[in-house]
Amino acid sequence: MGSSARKKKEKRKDFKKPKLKVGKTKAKADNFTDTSFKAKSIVVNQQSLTTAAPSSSSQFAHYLSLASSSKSDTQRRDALSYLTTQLSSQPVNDPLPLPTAILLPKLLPLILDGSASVRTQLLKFLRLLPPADVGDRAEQALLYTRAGMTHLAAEIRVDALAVLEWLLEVAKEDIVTCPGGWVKTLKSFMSMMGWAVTSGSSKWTSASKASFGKAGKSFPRQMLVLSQFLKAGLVESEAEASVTANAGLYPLVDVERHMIPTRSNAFAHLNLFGSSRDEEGEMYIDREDRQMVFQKRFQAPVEVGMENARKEAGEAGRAAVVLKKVLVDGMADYNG
Amino acid sequence: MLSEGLITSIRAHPKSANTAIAKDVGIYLHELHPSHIIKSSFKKSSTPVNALVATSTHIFAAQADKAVVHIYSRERGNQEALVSFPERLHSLALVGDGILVLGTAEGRVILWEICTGRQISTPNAHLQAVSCIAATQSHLTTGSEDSNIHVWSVPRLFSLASNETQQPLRSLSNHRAAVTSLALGHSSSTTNICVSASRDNTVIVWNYHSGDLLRTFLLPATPLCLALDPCDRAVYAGFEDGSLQLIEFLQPKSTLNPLYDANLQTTPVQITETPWTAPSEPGAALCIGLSYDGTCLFSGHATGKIAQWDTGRRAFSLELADLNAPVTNLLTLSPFPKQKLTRPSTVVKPKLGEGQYVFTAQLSKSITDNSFEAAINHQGLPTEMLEDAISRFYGPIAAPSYSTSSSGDEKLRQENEELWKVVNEQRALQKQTFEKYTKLKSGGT
Repeated sequence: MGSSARKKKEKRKDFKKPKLKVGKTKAKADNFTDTSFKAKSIVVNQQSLTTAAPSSSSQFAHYLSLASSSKSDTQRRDALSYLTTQLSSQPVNDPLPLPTAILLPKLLPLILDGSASVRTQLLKFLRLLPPADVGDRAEQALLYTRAGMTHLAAEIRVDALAVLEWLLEVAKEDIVTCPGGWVKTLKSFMSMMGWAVTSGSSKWTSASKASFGKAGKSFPRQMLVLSQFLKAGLVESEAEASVTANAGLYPLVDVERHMIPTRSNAFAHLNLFGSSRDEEGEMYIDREDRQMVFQKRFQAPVEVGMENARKEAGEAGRAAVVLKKVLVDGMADYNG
Repeated sequence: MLSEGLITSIRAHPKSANTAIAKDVGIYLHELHPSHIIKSSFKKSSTPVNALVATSTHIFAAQADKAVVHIYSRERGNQEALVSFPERLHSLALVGDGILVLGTAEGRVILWEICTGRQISTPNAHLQAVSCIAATQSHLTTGSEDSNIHVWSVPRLFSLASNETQQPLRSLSNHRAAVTSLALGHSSSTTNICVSASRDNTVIVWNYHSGDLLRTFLLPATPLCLALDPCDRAVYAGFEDGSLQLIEFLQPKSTLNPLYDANLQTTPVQITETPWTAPSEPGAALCIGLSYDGTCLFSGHATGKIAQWDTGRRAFSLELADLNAPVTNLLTLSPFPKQKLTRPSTVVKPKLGEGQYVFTAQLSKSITDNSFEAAINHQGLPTEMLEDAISRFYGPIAAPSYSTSSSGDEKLRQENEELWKVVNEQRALQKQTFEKYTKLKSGGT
């Protein structure tokens, strides 16, 4: 009697459908055979089957395209390090495998790259480029640097400051005189450091959020770079171009100015073919013009912020003293 | 906004099956500012080197291996006419805006006046095809594959009176191989230079008014095309290996223009600076053009690439376009086109017979003088304005004397007397009231 119930249950079980439970996979059938397989193969990417190795210039071009348009961070970083080693290993006076005119437009967007290793590698590569060529492309380089300085991510802001330092070392005259170079860069400095540009009421002191948290460590550095920038733009450089009077060429005066110019795009300041530039986008070639714009728009907030920073003392205080010295030197002989 | 433009033409046989580029298009119009775009194009044209010219209203393209010139109208954007000539054509040039010069395969030069249809042809002064032509308003220089360059006088060719066969004014035979390109200087004096390049790897600069050879430059490669600086300070030559070279005429340290230094005229100068190279292999530089201010150089190559070079830095700047077929002609358009008083709206096909010629054109501006414009465009002050101003200083001065009584003065004097009378009456009245007031006041108190 006890066993017949068991036997009936077993017979009934054959015809019952197993209940499906939520979250659990369906029960395997009795005659289930596993048909999966693991293919044991080596997959090789596209290969070029020539006997000669590709020439170094074509390899250079290949790694350049990898660096500028690869999806993976490590690949970009490795491509940049290959380019850096190529440039640093060739003799100094050799021409570049590819001219700077082609290298810079492809690599400048990497200033805004998300990964830190790519940015540091990019800066090492940029320092190997010849200074004269970089000066020709100052406007383009500044565009990306400014975008980096006002980026949302703090690390990109810090690295963009390093790029601006390099630009000031290499081509400071071009940086402050290119169209939009003076006013727009100063505006991005103001927004980066939180010093209000608009002359609002001084009741609301703009919170010194710059000295809190992680970004607080970069505030003195920002002020130092700002002082370097202002020095390049406002302080007279010692090496003024001396006019060599060629007395032997009596009927001719200023012959050098009538020869074919040696600067790239020597008539850019005429702006013959571009749309009209407003005050922000204008080229300020003279030191007096730069002083005038600085005094009109930026001097007040810069001085206020500098005073606040000096009161805070410490690193920020020391940087503020350097900034003050540059301001005094630069605007001393300006009488607006 | 001002803009610079380019006109480029290709020679057919596209290099690769590139579907991005239309197969039929032969002539492209590019616009360079604010950024490079291809503005419009014309179909069905295949031109050899030096065979494209453009006026403000029309584009003329001599077809390769055919004795035909295609004429395209720039305003209407289509092919306007197809003119055939008795021989195959190798080169084209324009004299001013209204005369088309054609160089044929047999060494003859045909001149065709666009607005009247008059056609003049010279005898076979050259022994082989005329490969390049350059012209100013008064002179025509033709270079040919037989290494000779002839100078012709345009007014003499077109004179209605002469019946004898035309002869060139002078010729230069210093080249040893085919002449590939000619360029004339921009001055309007009698010392204007002509620069010629030839396949014997030399560039010769000479004065075509007097026929003097000024300088010979020896080059490392074969120059195929020339572009002269807007101020005639240097010439840029494009080589067969795709590189460019700058040949400077002026030296900053000397008062004398080295071209006219008699001591150096007989010795050829070897150019030692390295040519400018492009990073990719673009093929032979078939045509070259300078921008309006001389800071940009554009070159068209045999692989179809158009490259832009920076003359200030003496280096390659960027690759502008790829047209997929050899770019044989490149014309740079000035952003300040000259406004002429008449323009040909349709060309008049050439008639061979002599007879009455009818000038057909469209008037585009009024002839009436605007005195302000005339004053601005004058050098210094115009004499009429000066005379007018001086005469005003010396005019009769009206002396203020009351004895001279003109009718106006009389009226004024009368009015004056009446007013004085009124004033005196008022004063008397005021005195009376004041007396009354003081009397009352003193009386009152």
